[in-house]
Amino acid sequence: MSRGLYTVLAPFLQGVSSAHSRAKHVWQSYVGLIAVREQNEALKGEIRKLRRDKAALLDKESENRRLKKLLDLKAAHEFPSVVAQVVGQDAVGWYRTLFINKGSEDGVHPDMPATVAEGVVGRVVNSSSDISRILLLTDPNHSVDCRVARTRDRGVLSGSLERGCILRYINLKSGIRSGDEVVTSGLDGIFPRGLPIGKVVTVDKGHQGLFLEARIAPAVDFSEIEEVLVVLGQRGGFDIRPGLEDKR
Amino acid sequence: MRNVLFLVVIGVAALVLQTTSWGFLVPAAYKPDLTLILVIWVSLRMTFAIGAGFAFAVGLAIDMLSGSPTGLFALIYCLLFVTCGFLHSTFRIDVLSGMALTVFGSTLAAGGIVFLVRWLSGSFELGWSVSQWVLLKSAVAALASLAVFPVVDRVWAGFSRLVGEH
Repeated sequence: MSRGLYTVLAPFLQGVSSAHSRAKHVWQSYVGLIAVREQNEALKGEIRKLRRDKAALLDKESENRRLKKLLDLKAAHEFPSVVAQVVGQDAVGWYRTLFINKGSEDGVHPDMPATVAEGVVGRVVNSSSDISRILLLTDPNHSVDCRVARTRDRGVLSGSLERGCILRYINLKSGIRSGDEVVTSGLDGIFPRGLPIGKVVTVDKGHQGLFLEARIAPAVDFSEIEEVLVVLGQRGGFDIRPGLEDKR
Repeated sequence: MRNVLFLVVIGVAALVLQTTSWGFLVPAAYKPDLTLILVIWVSLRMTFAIGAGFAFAVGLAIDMLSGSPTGLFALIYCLLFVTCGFLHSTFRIDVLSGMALTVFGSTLAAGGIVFLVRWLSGSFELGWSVSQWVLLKSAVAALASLAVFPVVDRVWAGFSRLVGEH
């Protein structure tokens, strides 16, 4: 009797059991999928956060490197200086100027030189209590008294909007050649002597033929500047004694 | 008063944008002069007294925020304002292409005056690449104005609805 009942029920029991186990499997997979999806979302969020953190760290690392260079430069100067952040650029783009977040309250005044580790950036032309404007080396209104580091020849460097900078009034007998390094002479009373300006690209005779003219590639990439070091020095300029710069 | 308030707001916004993030969108040397575009817009939409005041004030602000001699841009913007107002009253340039063409010509004129003043005041060489630069910058400004004019018109319409017509 019981055997007959089992025989009849067995296929149903198996069928129901199989269906149950399948349903259970599907349900577990579904629940598992929800958990996986949630986990996936959480992991995606974590990846996004890690990417943000990585970008921030890279930015900090780069800032750290730049500030370290400026600190080294600051330590090398014999004059007091202040690090300032670049906060803006020329409003119209016809001129080469930029704004820094330090002003007269921090001791920054007109005619103070601004530098970075690579070389001269320009000089302060206006300053209010907490912001100043710097005229870049590449602006035609900017002139610096310079020397060719190898030959010690003097010249006046001025900005040229289209060709970097031009070093004028170099002695015709000068042995200046392409690749020579140009540094500040210190004789203009604004820039301390020996600051790198750039390298000579080409040399030719000036329009009148009385002096040589050299095209200079600035050492600084002006589009990449984020911080500058303003050399405070004396407001009236640096103490320059004739001939002193030659003894360096 | 409503017009003045609006011009103060967009003028300050344009100056801040122009000295900060505007230069990151295009190379700094070719960035379009937003304030000049606004001066052209004002010459077509506002009364003479308010527009001239705006052109002078914003030009003076540009003089302080760039390397130009004080008063140069105040003068240039006032001249451009008057010229564009005259052109508009004569030729009805109140279509987008006409306005963009006006921006092109105005940027060309402003650049020309800037370099003429620099050339007269120092040892600045005017060459083909400077002309190329002025032309390219004028073209970029004209293209930018195609986007800026409709935006300013919409902001102006929204502002008018918000504050009221009078």
